[in-house]
Amino acid sequence: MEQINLRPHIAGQVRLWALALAMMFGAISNAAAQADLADQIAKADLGYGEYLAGECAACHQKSGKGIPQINGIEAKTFVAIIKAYRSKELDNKVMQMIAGRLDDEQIISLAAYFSSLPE
Amino acid sequence: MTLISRRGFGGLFGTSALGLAMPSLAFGAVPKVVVIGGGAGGATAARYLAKDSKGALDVTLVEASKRYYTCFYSNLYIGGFRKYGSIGHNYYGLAVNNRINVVHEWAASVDGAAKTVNLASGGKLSYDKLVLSPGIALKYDSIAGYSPQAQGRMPHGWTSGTQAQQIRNQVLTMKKGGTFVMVPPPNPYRCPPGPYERASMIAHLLKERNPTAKIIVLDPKEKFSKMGLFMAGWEKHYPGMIEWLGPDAHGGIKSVNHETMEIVTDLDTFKADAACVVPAQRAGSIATAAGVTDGDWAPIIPATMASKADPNIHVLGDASVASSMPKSGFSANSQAKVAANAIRGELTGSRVYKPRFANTCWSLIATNDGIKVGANYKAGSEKIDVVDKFVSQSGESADVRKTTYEESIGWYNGITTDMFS
Ligand SMILES: Cc1cc2nc3c(=O)[nH]c(=O)nc-3n(C[C@H](O)[C@H](O)[C@H](O)COP(=O)(O)OP(=O)(O)OC[C@H]3O[C@@H](n4cnc5c(N)ncnc54)[C@H](O)[C@@H]3O)c2cc1C
Repeated sequence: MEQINLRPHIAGQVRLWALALAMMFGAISNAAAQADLADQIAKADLGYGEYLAGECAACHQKSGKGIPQINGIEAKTFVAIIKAYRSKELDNKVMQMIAGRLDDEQIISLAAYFSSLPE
Repeated sequence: MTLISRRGFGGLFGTSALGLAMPSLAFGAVPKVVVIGGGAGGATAARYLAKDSKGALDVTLVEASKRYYTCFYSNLYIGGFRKYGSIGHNYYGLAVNNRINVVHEWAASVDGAAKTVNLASGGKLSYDKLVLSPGIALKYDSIAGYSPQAQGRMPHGWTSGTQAQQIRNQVLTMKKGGTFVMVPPPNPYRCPPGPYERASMIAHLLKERNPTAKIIVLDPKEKFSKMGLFMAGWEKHYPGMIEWLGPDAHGGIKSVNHETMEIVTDLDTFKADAACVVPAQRAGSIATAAGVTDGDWAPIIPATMASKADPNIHVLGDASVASSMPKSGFSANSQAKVAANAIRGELTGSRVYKPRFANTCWSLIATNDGIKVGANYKAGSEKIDVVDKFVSQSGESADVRKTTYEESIGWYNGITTDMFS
């Protein structure tokens, strides 16, 4: 799979992300679904996202090497990747486990929170 | 939404959901939280309490050392994968970025009724909530002949500091073809895979510099964490170098003698050229002094990490009885966030969310051969219960093992940033 230039700092860190992006375009192919997601993210509970993000912060930090940094990530990319881990389409045991117990609302809250952070 | 209203905690928190000031706090006073121990649990708790309360809490961290050398990755230092300096961290970020009052003193005792902490130097701190994350104390007398004196020649390397340097130096200066004897601790102890990662790292060093040397592991336990994975890794990378003997083979550890460098078991006496002896463990002494231990460890209420003995004291990390969670830095960091959320809710009326815990322990067997084991957890009424878990598989590709190792580097950077930035 060819690498898609997500963002200069994220690209190159994890090739899997390119795959995730490709899957995302499959999953959220129509404009209505995208608008719906944007709407949910706009309405999300940032405080809840911040609390849940504590679990991510043990590993995902700016200094990340071997683990991508996710501050400032685009919300819909985040949602697509986490859902792909949840359905085990993306392969990493830790992330499959973490994503495995996130419900849709929690994923949206996290996406809203991480996308609100500066990179 | 899994937000738990403060009433939802069934009277654990006695104040209104609107978050009016606690009756016990004077009007306008900023509630005080004192954290004892600036390690994986305590540094994280202090940072999250300060960062998330944005000035609504007065946070003091009491930590004896001015620099925290992580036990995590100390094995990689022994193996030559890290420089010693790279596992040392200071408290600048907590003091300056998070405005935590960092007190470099030894906490000697706690008066739970008066809600004060007495420092060994004579000072006193008062608190509304106290967090204890003192790590472990060693039970030297769990092995006849072992003592603070003996650890000079038979280092444990199980608490932070020069002990790990001592072990590396012993391995480097060991005679050609010599024998390194390792005695792992009995359960429960901090970092279940730690002794076996250590044996791997010592083997890695010996393979490079002293390939005819041997490592004998005299284990008081019949089995250990990730046993099959470690055994397969030793066979692959260090064939014939590491001999692991369980109690069936040696009959039990009887005594050690650091002058003769002998380890006596029921069935045999082993002569070591260098040794690492890790005794049994208990909660750091301040937990006992505070009256929150039952036996060796401090029982807690899973949803908040509050002590079962004193609702104003929360105990984190290795010192606590976190049931299904192993004693690890990852666990302590995770528990700290649950406790910080509960404490903040109780003292400032901020929202309290449903507790979530997680742990992953990575271990390195050889260059680019990393393995991991992990689980996530929820707060049961009596215990912290496993929700889901995983472990590396035998026969994984070299690529997967390399990625696992690289992931552990990311985790090390992540957790130390999460603790100290
Ligand atoms: C060899 C080895 C390898 C390990 N590898 C890993 C790993 O890969 N991953 C992992 O997650 N965990 C690992 N661990 C486990 C990890 O180090 C501990 O579980 C973790 O440090 C526990 O955190 P804590 O907050 O309970 O205690 P600590 O981190 O030990 O912190 C306690 C702090 O409290 C201070 N203190 C104690 N009493 C007082 C007092 N009375 N007054 C003032 N200060 C006090 C101490 O100075 C210390 O800094 C490893 C441990 C070892 C020994």
